[in-house]
Amino acid sequence: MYNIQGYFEAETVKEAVDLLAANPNLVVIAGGTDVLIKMHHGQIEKAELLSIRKIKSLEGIEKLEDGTVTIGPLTTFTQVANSPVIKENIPVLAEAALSMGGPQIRNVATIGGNICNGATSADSASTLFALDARLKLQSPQGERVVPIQDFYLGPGKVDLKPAELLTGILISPENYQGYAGHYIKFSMRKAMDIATLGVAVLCKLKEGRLFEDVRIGLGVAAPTPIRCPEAEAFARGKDVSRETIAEIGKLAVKATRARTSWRASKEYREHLVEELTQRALKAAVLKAGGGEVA
Amino acid sequence: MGVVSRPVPRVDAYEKVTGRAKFAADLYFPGMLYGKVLRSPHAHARIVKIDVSRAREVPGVHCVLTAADLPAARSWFTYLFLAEDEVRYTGDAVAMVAAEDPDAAEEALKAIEVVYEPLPGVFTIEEALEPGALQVQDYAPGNIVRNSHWPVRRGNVEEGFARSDVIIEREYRTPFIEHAYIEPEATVAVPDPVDGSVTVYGSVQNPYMTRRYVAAALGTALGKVRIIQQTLGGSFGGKEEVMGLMCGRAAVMAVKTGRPVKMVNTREESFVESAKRHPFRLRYKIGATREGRIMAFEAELVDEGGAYNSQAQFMNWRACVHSAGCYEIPNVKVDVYAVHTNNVYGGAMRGYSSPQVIFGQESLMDELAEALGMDPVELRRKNALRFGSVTITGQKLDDQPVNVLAVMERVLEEADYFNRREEYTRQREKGGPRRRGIGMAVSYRGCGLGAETADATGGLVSVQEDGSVIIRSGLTDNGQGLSTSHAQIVAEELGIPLSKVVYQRVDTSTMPDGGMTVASRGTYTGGRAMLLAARKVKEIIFRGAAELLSCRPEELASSDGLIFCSSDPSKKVSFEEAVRHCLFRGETLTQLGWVVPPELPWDRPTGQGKAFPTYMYSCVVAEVEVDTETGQVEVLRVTAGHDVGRAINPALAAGQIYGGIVMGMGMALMEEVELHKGVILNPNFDSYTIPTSLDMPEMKPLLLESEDPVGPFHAKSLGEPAMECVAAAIVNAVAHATGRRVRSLPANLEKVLLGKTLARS
Repeated sequence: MYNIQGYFEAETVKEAVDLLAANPNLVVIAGGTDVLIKMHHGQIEKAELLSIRKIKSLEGIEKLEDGTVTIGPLTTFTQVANSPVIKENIPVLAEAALSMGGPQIRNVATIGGNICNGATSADSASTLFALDARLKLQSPQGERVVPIQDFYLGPGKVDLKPAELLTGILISPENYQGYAGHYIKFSMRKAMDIATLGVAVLCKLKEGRLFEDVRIGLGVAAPTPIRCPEAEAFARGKDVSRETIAEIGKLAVKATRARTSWRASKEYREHLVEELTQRALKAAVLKAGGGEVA
Repeated sequence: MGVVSRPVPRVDAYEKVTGRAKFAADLYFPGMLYGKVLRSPHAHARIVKIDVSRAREVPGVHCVLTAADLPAARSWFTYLFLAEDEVRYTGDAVAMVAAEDPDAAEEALKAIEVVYEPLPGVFTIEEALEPGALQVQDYAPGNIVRNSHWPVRRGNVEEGFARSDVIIEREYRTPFIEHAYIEPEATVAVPDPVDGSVTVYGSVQNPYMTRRYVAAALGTALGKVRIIQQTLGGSFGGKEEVMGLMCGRAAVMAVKTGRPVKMVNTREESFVESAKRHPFRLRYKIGATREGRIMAFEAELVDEGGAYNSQAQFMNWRACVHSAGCYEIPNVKVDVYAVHTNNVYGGAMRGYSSPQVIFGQESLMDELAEALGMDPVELRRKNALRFGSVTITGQKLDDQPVNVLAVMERVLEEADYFNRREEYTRQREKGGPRRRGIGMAVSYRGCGLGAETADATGGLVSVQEDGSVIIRSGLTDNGQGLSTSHAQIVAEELGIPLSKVVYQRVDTSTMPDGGMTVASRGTYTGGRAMLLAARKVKEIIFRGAAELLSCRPEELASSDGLIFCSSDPSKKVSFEEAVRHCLFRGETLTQLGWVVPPELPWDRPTGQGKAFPTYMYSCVVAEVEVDTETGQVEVLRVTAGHDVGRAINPALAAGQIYGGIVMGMGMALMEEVELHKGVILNPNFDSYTIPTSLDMPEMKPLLLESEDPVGPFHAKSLGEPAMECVAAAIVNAVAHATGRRVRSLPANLEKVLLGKTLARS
């Protein structure tokens, strides 16, 4: 069931990427909540695992002097949800982290693993999309930084080059300061479930009555997490009203490429996108100091 | 201080909460091998060829067996240990291996070459019933499960409908549902090299039934097979056929290799092979006068038995008895029957048809009320069974309390039903996306096995010289708390502290076969046998005590470990002393209590007779909030009241009610085994969703007591009633909230929002 052919542990990033370069078959394992399930289902056979759990530099959350919030990929969901830095600066990300799995899973599952697994349903992804998060990637050849939108290539596929390791998640101050956000995880039950749809909305208001900026990140609305450019462009400068929000909801659907899967049909998902985008935006408006939009 | 009627801690609480309890998968024996089974990927196929030669070469493998290698029977009843020439569902096994470790066993399975010729199959009730449909089993013409047809004929429905002012016809559906016990099936079979016997430890619900499978597979005498039940991580009716097959296979490999063989299912294997709740297609026609008096009830209830079935034959009898609910109806025509398909087989699951049947019939009552323009409670009040009423099977209820209305009114009051109903109706008229609704359902349920089969069982009470007492039952503790309730009954009767009673798990070599632990008969029937055994022991001990106290035995009473003279409590002797006195004289203080129920007459062609000696009554009120923009249903509050006769242990009884509510909620809103051409698409809990602790509603259990003439200390059944009305009440509440009725379970998001499922078109 767990046919582990080899197991390596790295203590530094350099050690890890060197090992990866030397053996392209290595599968990186952190919390293991995705990798072990893939092994159980036979999607990974005869795995050679590289554990990165001992790499201390990949843990933790910091706010840099310039206001950039950095999250180490080994940070667990529990740590993200409880982090004073996150709760104070980007509370919507703490909400998203808390919606994932159950306490036992959140205690071991890491945010880096959630991203690198490449699932459209990743509970952290839609919010990180809305935050324009950037990812720091390290290989023996050097480091590069890519926007999270470019990192997701397809279902279960991410832009990790050979021997590359995710080493940091960066959120710049201009992407969270002045914004309020709201995350809705829509699922069949309240815990231990994969999202039928994830909706993360950030908004910044002008004088409490105009949308200065709106960002919409959606999970499970397309093969990868997505943003809704048309809806966001429409929102800019519009007054905060029921009508504007209704239109934003409609436009959000345009960005989707929903599929019928066992969790829901395409039609139902599109209906949910329209409905829940409005709900999330209304909640975000309230948090941003705007009034209640009925 | 009495022991019965008190919420004493479970006798097995300590071992369970400290993790010391040994489940079958926790057992290890020297030299133990690990068994694995190769199952068919096809729902229906001919086996052209099986080649196991490469599998036998895998290092660490001790045996690889196909049907041709089996020493005796290839099947028990019709369930196959190993399929020989044809597979009829995707759980059918074609080969099995035993190896030094699980990896080697897996490796060997991969090395087995099977050539199948896939065949067309039947996958729905409609396909099964189509004229000329493929026959799933040769012995079942028309795909009707043998012996599964149970009719009820009472009065004349044509006349009844002619005298009705309002007649409605409806169809409801329920899906396959998984038991979802937390412990997947596990067993270890240990061969005895000396006498050729086998001891099988396992997660079995019915050890004596399992013993039949094992003896058949080995071709040996029942006496040479010993089944010992390990601590069970839930069963709910599920660990029956699948455990018989698993234990049979393990025993064959154990005898073949001369080594203990352990088999443990993965969750996926458990989903694929094990029985499910039978799906039902429930068709009704019901007629009533303008005043709401039901005049006629006609029903055709068809359940899907799957590829094999040994339950519909019995279960459908219960379905026919309870088909019309707890109402007095003069004209009734009911037909219940099951069909075979190439899907997973239906088995026993908590309720044994009643949750499905009640969902249909109590939805129908609400729809009839709506058609009559009448309050649904009023309609039920008008037609409910009362003392002296005659049931649809012709049983006159004049020898027991009939508490439909008492239970219903009490639960409605506790739930503040009428105020809330009015308030939510008002809110609904105002509109808005979130709508609340309140709904209810009532039921009655025959206690024990009734006329289905002899409800006989035994209890053994053995008093030791130090005053401690060993008790044994042929019925099992499946987690429901039978060991505690039996211990309480014995302690109460003997007047000793509960701590003196030691429960020993079922071992088929130590007790006579007392039937299966089903039909909510653990306390109701099993408890009576225990009480009887305790009484027999007590009689002997009191005779001894009377000698010591120089009084007559009839004058004695006992409590807290003392036996005393009722008229003069200062004349007393300790229980231990009286016990020693008896044993010294050569008496035996080991007694078997055996209860044999009175015979209940039943006429099969008309479905008339005395179905059960007594009935218990339930009412559940559910409140929901429906998000009409997303279809999401939140269950806010459930009030559940049950006429339990008397609760032996109120805490355990409440536990049954809580569990029943959550299980019923899963059935109502989310649970469905999804199949495509016989392949189960959601074989684990990531995709087969059951409610979690965060989804649980506020729950109010009400234990309503009455004087039952039959059960021990007046106790009646509760395990199954605790869940049987819940789904119906929730769906009725959803209909109240939305004004739209879901007639096919589960009432999941899409069905509630759009009225249809789009997911798999």
